[in-house]
Amino acid sequence: MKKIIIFIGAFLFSTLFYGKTIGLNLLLFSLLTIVVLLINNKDDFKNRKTIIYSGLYVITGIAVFFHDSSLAIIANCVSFFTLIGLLSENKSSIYINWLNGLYTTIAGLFHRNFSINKQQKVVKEKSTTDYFHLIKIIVIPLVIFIIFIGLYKNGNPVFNDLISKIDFSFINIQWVLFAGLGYYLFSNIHKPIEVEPATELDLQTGNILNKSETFSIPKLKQENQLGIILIAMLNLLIVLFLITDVSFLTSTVDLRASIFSAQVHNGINALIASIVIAIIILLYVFRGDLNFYKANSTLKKLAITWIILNLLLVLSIAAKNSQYIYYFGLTYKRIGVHIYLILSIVGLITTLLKISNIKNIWYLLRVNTQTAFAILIISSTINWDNHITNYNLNYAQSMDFKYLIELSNNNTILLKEQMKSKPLDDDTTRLVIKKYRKYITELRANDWQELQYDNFKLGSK
Amino acid sequence: MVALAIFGFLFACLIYFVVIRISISAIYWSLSDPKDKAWAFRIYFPYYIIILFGICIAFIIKSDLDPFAILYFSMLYTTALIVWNRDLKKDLKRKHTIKKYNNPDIKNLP
Repeated sequence: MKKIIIFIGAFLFSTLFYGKTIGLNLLLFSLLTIVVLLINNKDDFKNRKTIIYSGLYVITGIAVFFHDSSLAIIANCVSFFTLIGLLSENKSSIYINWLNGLYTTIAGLFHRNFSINKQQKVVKEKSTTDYFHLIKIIVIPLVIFIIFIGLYKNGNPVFNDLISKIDFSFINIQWVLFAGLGYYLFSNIHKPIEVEPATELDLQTGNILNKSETFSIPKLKQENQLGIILIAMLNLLIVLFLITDVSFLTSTVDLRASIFSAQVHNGINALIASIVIAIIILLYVFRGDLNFYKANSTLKKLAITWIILNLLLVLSIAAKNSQYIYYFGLTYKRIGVHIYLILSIVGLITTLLKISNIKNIWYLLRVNTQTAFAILIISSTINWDNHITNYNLNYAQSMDFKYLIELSNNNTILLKEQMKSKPLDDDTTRLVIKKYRKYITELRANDWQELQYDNFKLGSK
Repeated sequence: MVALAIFGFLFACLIYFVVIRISISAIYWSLSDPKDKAWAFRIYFPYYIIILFGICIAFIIKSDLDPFAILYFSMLYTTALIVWNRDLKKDLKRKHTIKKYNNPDIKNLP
């Protein structure tokens, strides 16, 4: 039964992907993967977490169908590894799920040949299949059989005619090899495995920081003093910076584009680096026993103040970036800055929680990777090209039209629609029409595996 | 020309076999007990195969999905699995033999 399912999976894999571009096939593959996993891991699918992650995997597949963006494809791959990893061990952290998912996808079949006894920590050979013998009994008779056919062909014209009539040209070797790849993939993933040392370590590691055995009050006193001086100075510096920043923001009503652009680019890069360094400094100061030192309340208050001031800094960067977007339009880089700022806010808040609730670095890693995954899934569901085009054409004060033309095909239909309502010069109109025609030709050439939502939109028009 | 191509291909195969063999042996040599290949499999094999797979995929993508590159790197990956498989089976056989000869019943045999 298991083998039949994998065979069907391999056949469908090749049918969906061989010589095709990405479209409906990735959504169907996502559903197929879930069916194969469900059949082989029924008990795991009773778990709510597994159902949620399966749902997320399907959502990314739907996102690929609706707008065939690279981000949606990446999100689909990441959620595939997450789901596989979750099935191998549902209590582990998300980054361990990624590792387990990747390992299962790459070498699950091979690993399963050698079972690992967790109690005795020994490896045992599980499979008794002699693959070398299997290849021998297939290849040697086949070669001899073909040689004899060649010999008999020369000895008898009727036999020669009969052999000549046999036509295997309908078999596409590449298609079969691709199905072989599908078979290997499904054989690997149908029963997920784990990277044992990493998973074990992750399960044993909690989120709470423990006091070490080398707890020394004089040493901690020195560390506390150093921390207070350092963070107090950084607090003063950031307050000064924020005051000057507010005055800059309020005075940039009529700033020249080049100055504004340079200021925002250089400034944002520097501020992004400063936030990362801020988190690293706090993690270093609160890495160990200083969390349990009784006279650390001043240091803690200063650290929390610094985090709040850094949050204000994030807001000021967001304001600058928004201003920039308003004047010069949306671009992927500018959206990237906003996404980075959201991640920074989460990073700062989790650092604050780490300090106030005495958590360890693993807690930060777990929460932040989970957040990054959530943001990836959410952003993959958004048709960015469409939103960028819509905003730039209707709300931005100025924008680069060439940039809109160079975006993926996801904005083509919108550009064509906007062309009717907005007066464009001849060159721009020609570029839009060229892009539209090219896209329509591509859509019409799509096979059923490559279908996109735009195919249906086109059909309904 | 064909002979040269075959020779070139065989030479490339020899090179990658040597590289794979040395890379796997290097893992064993780094262990406190280099003969304990099962331990190496448990601890290092997952990372080894993930890195190797990553390198193979990177080269295949860099070659713009050239069929020859796909064939070459698929063979490289399969060879690595075969070498690990062979080493592990040998190790398990060795352990089984040691266990067998340490069995008191066998020792007491005439």
